[in-house]
Amino acid sequence: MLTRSYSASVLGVEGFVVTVEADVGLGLPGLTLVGRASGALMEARERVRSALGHCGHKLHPRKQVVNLAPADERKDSPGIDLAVACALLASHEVVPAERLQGLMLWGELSLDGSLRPAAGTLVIADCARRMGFTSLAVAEASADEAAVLGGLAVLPVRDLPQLVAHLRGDREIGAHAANDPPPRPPRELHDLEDVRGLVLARRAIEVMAAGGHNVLLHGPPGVGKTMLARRAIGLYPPLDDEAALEVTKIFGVAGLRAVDGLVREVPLRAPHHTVSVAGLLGGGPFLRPGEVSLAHRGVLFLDELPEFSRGCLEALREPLEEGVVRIVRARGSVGFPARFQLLAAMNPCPCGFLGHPDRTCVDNPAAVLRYQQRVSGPLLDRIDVAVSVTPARPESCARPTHRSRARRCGPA
Amino acid sequence: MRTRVTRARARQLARLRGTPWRTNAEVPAAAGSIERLCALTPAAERLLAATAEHRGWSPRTQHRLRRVARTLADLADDDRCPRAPAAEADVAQALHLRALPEAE
Ligand SMILES: [Zn+2]
Repeated sequence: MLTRSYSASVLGVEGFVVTVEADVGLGLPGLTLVGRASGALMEARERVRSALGHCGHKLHPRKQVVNLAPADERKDSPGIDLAVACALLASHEVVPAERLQGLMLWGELSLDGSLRPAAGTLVIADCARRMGFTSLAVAEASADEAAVLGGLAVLPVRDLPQLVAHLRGDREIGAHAANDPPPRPPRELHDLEDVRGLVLARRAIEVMAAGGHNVLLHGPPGVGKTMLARRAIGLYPPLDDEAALEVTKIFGVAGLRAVDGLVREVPLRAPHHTVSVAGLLGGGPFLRPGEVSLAHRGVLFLDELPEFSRGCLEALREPLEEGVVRIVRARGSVGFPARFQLLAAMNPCPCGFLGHPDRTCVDNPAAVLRYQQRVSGPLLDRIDVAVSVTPARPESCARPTHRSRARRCGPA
Repeated sequence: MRTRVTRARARQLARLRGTPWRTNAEVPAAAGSIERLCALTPAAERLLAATAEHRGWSPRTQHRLRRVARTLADLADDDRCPRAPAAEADVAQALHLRALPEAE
């Protein structure tokens, strides 16, 4: 009997429906997976076979073929396991095939039949909702994430026997009630009012937060460039619904954190200058979003800008211009959203003290020029606001608000 | 300071209503959008043009200056209409906020 079940796979930060067709026929006993399955899915065959056996669902020793559609798209996630198992169970008439209609199945099977969460549940839930599914079965640990959007009955599944009992109508699984996420401790919001002696830099940060501009801070080390970046985030309003969904999906696909509600805080990412191009842009065998996407709708802070590899600096141009980064794969390319604001910081020269009021630069002019040229041209062309951050001078502290500040501004 | 930022964002949203953009930085140069949505007073236009000529700026750089001037006008502590063009003082401050590192 030919039966169908439904799952989904993640491509970039969007999901697409995967239809699983199982058939039992004549031929040598065995289980064959057809359809462009990645290595992860070939392991799925073993997991599904073991889980079914462990749960006492003895399948007839017959030829079984499982077909995954669309055939031309790579399906990476072990989250498809559950749908493969259910299609097989239906083809053996262990569960009624019609119970699999309108139900999206998402989870990785352990060898003993328990269900494990798979990354990207929010993307899958969004896909299921948009494609008209009425319910979504996921591992218990994923239920909160699946219920974030609403509009779907979310079935938390502990293990395969529990789902079989549900599908047979023996013992229904109750839909997971959307949890109000536990109130997060409000992020410590630093305003910039307490940053003295950095008048221009404060203005630059204010302009950045207000108008969405890209900013470059340059100046000697130790004047608070990094501190300014961290404070800048406190000036942003919370993400609106649309932006929050985009950001939460990216975080979920990256497996960054447990998703129990939409991310409302504006992201700040600060990769070290040793980051690889793949780490910055995304990619890798599992097609993970990179730093530019993790900073989507937020701020990408690149300290020591000239120290980043030339490849990284070049690679920033496309997302800065397009708000999206395209990862080229063997077949076609995948776009990840990457509409971030760039906040860059750099020293004025390799030693850091060019133009310093009290210190002397020890670099020769050619070295300074080489250093500055590393970020010149196309990248600087995308900077809207550039200010020199200078060490606080006594006169900029003329109006101390309390004693400790007054002391700090005294002659050093 | 956060209050000013919040108000500036609201002014942008009011001005950009009906467009796909939410911030001044997103307004594209194409099809006159930037001249319409980041308008300058005649005096401000003259200052921008003169500086651009003096420093040999590309149109792209001029557009960046224009957007920043618009944001500075949105941040201003006055109750000017969000559609009023940005003033000469806003352009002057935007120029001040464009000090790229230089080999001295
Ligand atoms: Zn130096």
